[in-house]
Amino acid sequence: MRLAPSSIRGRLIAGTVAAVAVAFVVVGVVVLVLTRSSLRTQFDDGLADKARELAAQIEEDDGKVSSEIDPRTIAATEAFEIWAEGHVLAKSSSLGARDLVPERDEHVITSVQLGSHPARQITLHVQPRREPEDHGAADDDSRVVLAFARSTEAVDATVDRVAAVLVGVGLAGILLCVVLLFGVVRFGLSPVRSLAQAIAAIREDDLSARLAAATTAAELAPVAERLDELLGRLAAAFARERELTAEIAHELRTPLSGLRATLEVALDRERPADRYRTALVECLAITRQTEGVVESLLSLARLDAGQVVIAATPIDLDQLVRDVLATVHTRATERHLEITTDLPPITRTLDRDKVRVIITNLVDNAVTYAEEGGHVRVELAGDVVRISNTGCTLDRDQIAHVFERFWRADASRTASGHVGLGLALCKKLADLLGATITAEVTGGRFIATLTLPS
Amino acid sequence: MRALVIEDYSPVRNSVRDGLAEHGYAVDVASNGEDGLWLAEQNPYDVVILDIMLPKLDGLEVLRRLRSKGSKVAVLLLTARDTVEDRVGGLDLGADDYLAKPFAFAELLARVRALVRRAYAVKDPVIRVEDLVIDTVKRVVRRHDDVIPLSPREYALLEYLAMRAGELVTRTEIWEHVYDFRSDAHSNVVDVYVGYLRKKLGAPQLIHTRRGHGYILGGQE
Repeated sequence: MRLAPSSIRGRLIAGTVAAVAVAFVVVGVVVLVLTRSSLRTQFDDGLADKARELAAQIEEDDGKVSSEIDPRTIAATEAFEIWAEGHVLAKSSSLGARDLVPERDEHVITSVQLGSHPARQITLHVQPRREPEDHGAADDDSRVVLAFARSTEAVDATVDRVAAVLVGVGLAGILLCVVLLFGVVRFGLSPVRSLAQAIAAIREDDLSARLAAATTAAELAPVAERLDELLGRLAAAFARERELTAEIAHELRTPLSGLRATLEVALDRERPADRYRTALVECLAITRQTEGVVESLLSLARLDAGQVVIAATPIDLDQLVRDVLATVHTRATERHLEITTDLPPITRTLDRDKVRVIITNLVDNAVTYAEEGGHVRVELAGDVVRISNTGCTLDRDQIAHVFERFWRADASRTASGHVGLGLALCKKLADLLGATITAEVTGGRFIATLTLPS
Repeated sequence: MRALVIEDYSPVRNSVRDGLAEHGYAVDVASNGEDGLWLAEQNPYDVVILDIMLPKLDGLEVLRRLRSKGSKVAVLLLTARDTVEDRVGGLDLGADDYLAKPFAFAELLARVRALVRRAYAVKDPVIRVEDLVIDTVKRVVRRHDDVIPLSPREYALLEYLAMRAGELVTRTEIWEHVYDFRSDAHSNVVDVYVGYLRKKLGAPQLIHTRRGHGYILGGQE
């Protein structure tokens, strides 16, 4: 069982042990102080009782004061001394040559040293007991003084014992507390452990598991819920990724199947050179189309990954549009399309390459999807580039999807080799440039509007 | 044998058409589901090669409609989607076979041959009619151990007659199964080609005429 100081278990145990130790010390000190003072009071009461008892054994007979104290009643740990008129009248044998020192005030109990032991001492001004006929004698309290002392050895030993017991009990308690804490904390943290096990059991290829059921601890429920939400988002992202991969595989398999079929049929038997040539030209065209698909996919992937840098320079939009239109001239002529333009000179500071990709894709789409003999219009007005074509058969619902990846109205490859990436790429690039791009259809005319940032 | 290729992607469509034609098939093509369905309903094809992702009407819908109208034509599905669900779905709709893109043309040919054999309840790719041996894989015809050289059209005619050996085959049936829309000839060429074939196969006569009805390969007389 490892116990790192940074672990929750380590903190809980250390903190609790410290708190328990402080509590034990405080309680122990209080108990000790109370016990000590209670024993002292008891001791002092006993001291005063015995002193009064001794005082009662001092007698006066005819003006002469004498002590009737029986030495046997004085323990070895006790001592007394009696003074009459300032002279020592009697003292206990335990004093030997030493003397007690009386206090000036009566009934005051003080701490003194009795031999080598600490002791308590009381001083009494004694009125000696007289014979009944001795009425005439003067009452002078200060004439006879009694000092009585008793060693506190026994009491001190008791206090020491109590202190020792308290320390022992405290240490044992702390030790027991540590042992119990290990169990308690282990039990208390078991939901964390089971949650960790549930998390560890999640495989990256199966994110359907949920953790909310794995924990019963109220404190961990929000954590499990957040993790479940994260898992949900991850699962959705993974699913999108898989779909995209399947789409990509499909888009690449189709041209591959074209290449393979063309090549295999051509190689099936000996043929005249021009037949091979026809097959090779066909394959080259397929390869070019596939390059376009791969290029679009790569561009989209880079855009997704945020690896694209914008390099804005002043560009002549009208000239850029004319350049793009020149590249589709042959195809437009083949399809008998009429292209009309309205291109006033407009200069904007933008990323030339990205604007060119957007406009190329839009123009290419228009030329591809316009019906044979149809009409394509390209116009510039302020920050707006509008490209439209006739022959659009999409309805409103379909228009909503045109910017999605791999979306095609027919869900199948058309002869043009368009795979539904162009508009998705346009949208992504427009977002990057801070431009907006919208599509609408009115009266069979598809209109794409690119609004550049002003 | 006559095949219909319904495929919108022209490189695949044209290659399969040319390849099948070179292997003696009469081939018609369609580039979308609607045209393909119409052709498949109008003509008694021996096999239909059907792409799934098609414009206008997708391949699975074409298949569903064909089967719902009772067509028993052999259908080979062709598609770039080849998950287990795709394959099971296609087969459960009544497809006879399945081929994922990109495919080997030799495999396509073999599967088409297998479908044709199945359609005519022939198990052995080598058909024997009396002492005539027709290897439908190598497309070689032997009689008395001598190889008989035939033109593709003659071979196609003989193969069709052999598939239905012992049965009466009408001129119209021959015309429908051996010629495609690109054939510029008229149905009376059937008689001409049967004449060529008889001459090449030699004696004793194997192709018998049922006047006013058609021909029978092998069997009686």
